[in-house]
Amino acid sequence: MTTTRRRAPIMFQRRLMLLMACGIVACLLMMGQLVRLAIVEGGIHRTEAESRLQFHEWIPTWRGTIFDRHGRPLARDEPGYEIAVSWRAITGTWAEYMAIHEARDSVDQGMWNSFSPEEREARIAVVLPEWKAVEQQLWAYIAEASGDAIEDIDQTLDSQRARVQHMAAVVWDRQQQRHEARYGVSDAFKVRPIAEQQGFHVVVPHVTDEGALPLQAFSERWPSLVQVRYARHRSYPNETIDVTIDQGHMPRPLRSKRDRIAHVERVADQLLGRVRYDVWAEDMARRPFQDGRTGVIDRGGYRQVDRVGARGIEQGWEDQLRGERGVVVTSRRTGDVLREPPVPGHDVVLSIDAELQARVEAILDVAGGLTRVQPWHGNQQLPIGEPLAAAAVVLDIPTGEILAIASTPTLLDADSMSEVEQQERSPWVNRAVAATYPPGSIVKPLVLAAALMENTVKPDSMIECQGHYFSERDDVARCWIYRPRFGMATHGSLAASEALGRSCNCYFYELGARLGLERLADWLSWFGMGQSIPTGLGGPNDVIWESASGSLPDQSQRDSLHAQGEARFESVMMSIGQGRLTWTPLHAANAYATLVRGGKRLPPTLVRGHRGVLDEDVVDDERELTPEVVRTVLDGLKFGVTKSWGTGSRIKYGEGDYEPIFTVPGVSVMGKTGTAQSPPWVRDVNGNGHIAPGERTTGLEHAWFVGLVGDDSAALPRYAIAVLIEYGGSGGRVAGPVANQIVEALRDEGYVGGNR
Amino acid sequence: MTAASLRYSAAVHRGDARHRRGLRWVNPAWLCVVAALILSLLGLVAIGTTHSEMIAKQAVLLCIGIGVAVLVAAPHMRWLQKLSLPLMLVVLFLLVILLLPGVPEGIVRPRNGARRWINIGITDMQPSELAKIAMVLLIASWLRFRENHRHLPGLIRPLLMALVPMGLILLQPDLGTALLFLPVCFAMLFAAGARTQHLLIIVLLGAFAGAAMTPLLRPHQRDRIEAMWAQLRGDDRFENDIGYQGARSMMLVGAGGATGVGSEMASSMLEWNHLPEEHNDLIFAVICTRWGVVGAVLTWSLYGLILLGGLLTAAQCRDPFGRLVAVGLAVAILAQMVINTGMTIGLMPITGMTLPFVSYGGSSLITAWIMIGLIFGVALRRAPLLWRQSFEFDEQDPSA
Repeated sequence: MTTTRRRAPIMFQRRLMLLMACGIVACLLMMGQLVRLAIVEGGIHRTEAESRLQFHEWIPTWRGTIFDRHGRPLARDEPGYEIAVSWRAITGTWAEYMAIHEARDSVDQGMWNSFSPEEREARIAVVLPEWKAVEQQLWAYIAEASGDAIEDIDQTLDSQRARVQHMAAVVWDRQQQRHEARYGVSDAFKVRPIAEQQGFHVVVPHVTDEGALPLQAFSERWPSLVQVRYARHRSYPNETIDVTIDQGHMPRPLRSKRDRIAHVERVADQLLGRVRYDVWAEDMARRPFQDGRTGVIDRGGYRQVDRVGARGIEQGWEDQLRGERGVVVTSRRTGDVLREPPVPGHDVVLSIDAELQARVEAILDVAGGLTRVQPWHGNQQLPIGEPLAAAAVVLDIPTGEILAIASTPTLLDADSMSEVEQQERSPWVNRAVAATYPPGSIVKPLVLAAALMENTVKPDSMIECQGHYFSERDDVARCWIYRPRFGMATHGSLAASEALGRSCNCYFYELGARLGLERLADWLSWFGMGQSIPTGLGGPNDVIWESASGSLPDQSQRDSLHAQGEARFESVMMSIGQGRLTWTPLHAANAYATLVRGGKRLPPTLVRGHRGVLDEDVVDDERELTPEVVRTVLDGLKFGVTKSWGTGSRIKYGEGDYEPIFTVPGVSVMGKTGTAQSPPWVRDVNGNGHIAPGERTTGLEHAWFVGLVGDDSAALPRYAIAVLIEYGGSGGRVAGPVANQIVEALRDEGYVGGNR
Repeated sequence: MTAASLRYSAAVHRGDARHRRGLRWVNPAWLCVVAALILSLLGLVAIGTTHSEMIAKQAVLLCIGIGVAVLVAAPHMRWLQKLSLPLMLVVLFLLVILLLPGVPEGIVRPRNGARRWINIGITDMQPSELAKIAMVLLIASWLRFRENHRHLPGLIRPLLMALVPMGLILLQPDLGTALLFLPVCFAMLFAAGARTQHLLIIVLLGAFAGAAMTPLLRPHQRDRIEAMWAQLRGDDRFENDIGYQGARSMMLVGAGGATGVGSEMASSMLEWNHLPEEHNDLIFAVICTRWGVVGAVLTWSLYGLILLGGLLTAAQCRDPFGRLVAVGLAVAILAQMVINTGMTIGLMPITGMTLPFVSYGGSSLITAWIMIGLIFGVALRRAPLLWRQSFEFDEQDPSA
């Protein structure tokens, strides 16, 4: 019996100990997870669990107002109501639904069940008309509140129904695929109404207080039918501006003693943008209302029903404009109420002048006639009357503020354009800032300033024009005057200012060659070519939307040009604005403004108080232009407009029949024309309604005019105007009259000429 | 003559040669009883956090449970051993009844698509709860005098004793309870001296077979497993559909922090976070919310105490059947706790499984107390005067 008294653990005991150990290990593993949940992530989980102990009622905030430079509101929030109708009413089944319920509730459950289908139908039919009447009354109210005819409302409803049905079809299809992937095809998939088919839908987005009042009482009576909700509405108070245009200074065929009243719609639409009422997944991802992981709430974040800035300033300055919701937090445990008032969005003041903007838009509109091909344009390739796309910028030189910036055709024009026309003219592009063009001759003042500063030429040293630059070849690098049309003429010997006024290519070829590719590129870059311009259109940091930067050969391209021995030819071509240079009208106005400021670089801005940051690599604030250089260049620009031989001075209607382009009295205008060779225009040449491959018009030129305007008495011009007419042809004859109209608009608005 | 031989001859004289008289009142199973009692009281308080109206009913059920435990502890274990096979047959019969189509809904009423409950008049009962006990008794009875489970073929029949009821339960479907059978069976085989490498081979084969069986799982079971994996990886894709329970219970467990949020706050949190089954399968989340890590560790320790009590009972017991019964039942309680709390804290897929003693519900509570009663019954009996060592093998000897 002594064997039973063994003390050492025997096998059974050993194994029991192991089992105990297993149990302990299992508990330790769970302990690890518990520590992770309760200690490491405990705070997050506690916050989330506690957040559900509170009831949040969100209070809408005000979106900031967008003003123009004179304090005119361009976009602002207005209080109002929206009318939302239940899906049953939208599909016209509400009356029937209510009638069935009423008929059924009027008798016992058991009794109803004992009725035959016919009897039920009969009972329903008795009460149906009164419910139909309520439904009718609803639509009458809605028609009254919205001011629309009932047929128009029907149309809205049709599109709503189509939209929701399409949505449901998509959702069901996806659900069915998922269901079949999970449970197999054999398991029948049951379709259930999607959320949109149960809730309320906004039928009238904006109703005023008075309009909402009768419906409000009605909605309280029939809450299952209609809801009248408080909702802010974005309005654009100065969206439509009528401007009176004096046609006395138009080119002769368009001239009239009668004023033209231009009814400009959606003024500055390209700048302002709009708000959309549908929130996209991207918005929610960018700034979620509630962080999915931590549950932290950002009161300025996006929810399913929200407003989002779309395009322009509304999009770019979204974070400043939108503000933060207020909230009333009610504790479910204690009933305590905590209020946080909404934080209204910041206002944004634009640098533009809405009236001037409307005028510029009216001038660029094809209805005015200046942006159609006209006989005096001398455009050989395009038919008379062909509408031309155009862009214009007006810049306040001392501050760099953009007073007006316009591009046609606009999105509004797009509505009345055919698909082919839209392809030809891209109405969605803001040409003033987002499309780049070869500058042509308007680059010459910058080249001259550079050459003078680099001392490669003296203001009074003469350079001979022989009609073509390379003595061995007369078919490349020719002067514009060296053509059969002008009898293969030459300019002879020219000094700086006159060469600029005459826009002599040979003079500038020589300057380009003397400067060389490196110095030329350096100066052009300093004038902003190839740099994006932080106007503030894309927000405080211009992150959302970047203006086109244009192009200039960069260091590696220049190195390869040097290596291929093409550097000299390239610098010769660049000096007249051809070759590898492109920029936007805004670049042009900015470069000229920099010139007038004596080299002080100010990035043009669209938002007052906003100053964009220039690319640090090219900021060279030490560099300036001497007053003498500025004077010489401005003299040349003055000659170009005022001397009879200046390229921007006269329109030729026929042999010996000339008229000056710039006709506004009391205003000093100087400027430079540019006629830049353009790539072929892909368009419906034969007018058959579609663009065949390879169908295009070649040999076209873009018409440029960059003007500097000021009071007669002032020493320096005050405003820079850049005008571009796409495929317009001659800078002087096509873009010049447009610039003249803008000068007149500046005078009418009191900016020059002492009119105000 | 020694005293022992005198006692022996006296016993022989009384005709009670195999079993000694008298009960061993001082025994380790008290650990189990005390721990189970504390857990049951903890359960009452935890249930009261959100459903104070349920406490009274649960208290009554607790009394019934303790009463039943006393009843099952009373007879000598040899009667249990004799009853083990008939009991298993009854259980299997009931499990088959559950699955038979055409059984009137008055008897078997499916809930959420699962056929787990039989209506026995006064209340519903789950045959799967009984199946746990029947399996433990049957395997213990089978293995008590055998040695062939030292070889692979000898493992087949004890394994079948677990797999057959397990398969029937899996068909109900009740993945959680079915999963419980495996660790219990393995623990018993292990305690009975089965070779470790044999068990490992079976586990590996089982794992492969299990992986191969995945397509046979019900869609909702597969979804649950998928959801758990996603949850463990921090993927909240399933949070609002099938992973909802898991995500909510994990959040509430976390919200409790180290020491819990207290009764009143826990009640609000549980209510407004809409934790489903919070008094039942997810009662552990209530414990964690209310008492935090401290409460959880205390709860686990109490289960550890039950395991310890059960294993000490087994160690002390000289009867091979009693030994294995004590091991099997203690491991069953612990395993059920691990599966339940594991799913509550997101380590296992959510399955319908109660936390023994703590969760609300008669079936679960009474079964748990029956198990305690059985362990206590084993611990109460003194060793027979004649006994031999059981489950002792020379691990070095491959032939043994």
